[in-house]
Amino acid sequence: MSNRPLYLPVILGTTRQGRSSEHVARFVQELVERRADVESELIDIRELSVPPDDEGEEAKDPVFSKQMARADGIILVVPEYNHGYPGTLKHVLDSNLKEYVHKAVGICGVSAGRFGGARVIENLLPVLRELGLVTIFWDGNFSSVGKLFDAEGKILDPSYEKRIEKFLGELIWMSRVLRYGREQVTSVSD
Amino acid sequence: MICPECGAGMNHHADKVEYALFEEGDEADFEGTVLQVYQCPQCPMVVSRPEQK
Repeated sequence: MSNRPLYLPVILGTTRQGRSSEHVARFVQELVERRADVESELIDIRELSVPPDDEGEEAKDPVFSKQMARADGIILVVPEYNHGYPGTLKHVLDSNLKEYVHKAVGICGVSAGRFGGARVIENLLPVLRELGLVTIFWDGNFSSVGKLFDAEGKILDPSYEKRIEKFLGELIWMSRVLRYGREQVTSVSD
Repeated sequence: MICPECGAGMNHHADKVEYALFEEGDEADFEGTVLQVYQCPQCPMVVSRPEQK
């Protein structure tokens, strides 16, 4: 297996003004960066150029496609809007396909209420499966997000770090296994 | 498949239906185009091509 570091970008999945998910994404990305042999960066979908009236190859943001091709796993930070995921995130995700196949994905759900984005996570799973991604069984659940961070974006509940470390441990394991598979195990569908 | 980036032999690790590529007259068994997906074992390059019939 190639020995380059794993690349696990964090995707901030909303473009809205005043988004609390940005604090979550920065918190998670900081924990990823602490891991040895893992590289990461924050991808803000607000900064991508994906035309809203096109799809597929024509709609691709070349930088984002390159990041997804390089990725071994993806962390999605997704707010729950009326029990669903942001349409802008779905549009961005739909702009790629081959770049995702047999790669790990973990979801951090974000909500204003108590359920930590549990409903948006459940709604997103079938979409990610169809994109060829492999979902892990740990989630990040960020509840009451309006009260979870101080004005500087520092998280106020220390228990989140422990939980997200478990989430990252599973994502890294799955990313390593899937990288080995992509590189060394040949399709047996024929 | 040879990696267009570094020249290494690529691994065909998946077949994935791309529904958006389906056009009238295409082979309809999968209601889309079956893409073969390749990963380079040396660099992060990912390549796909329609399944060879």
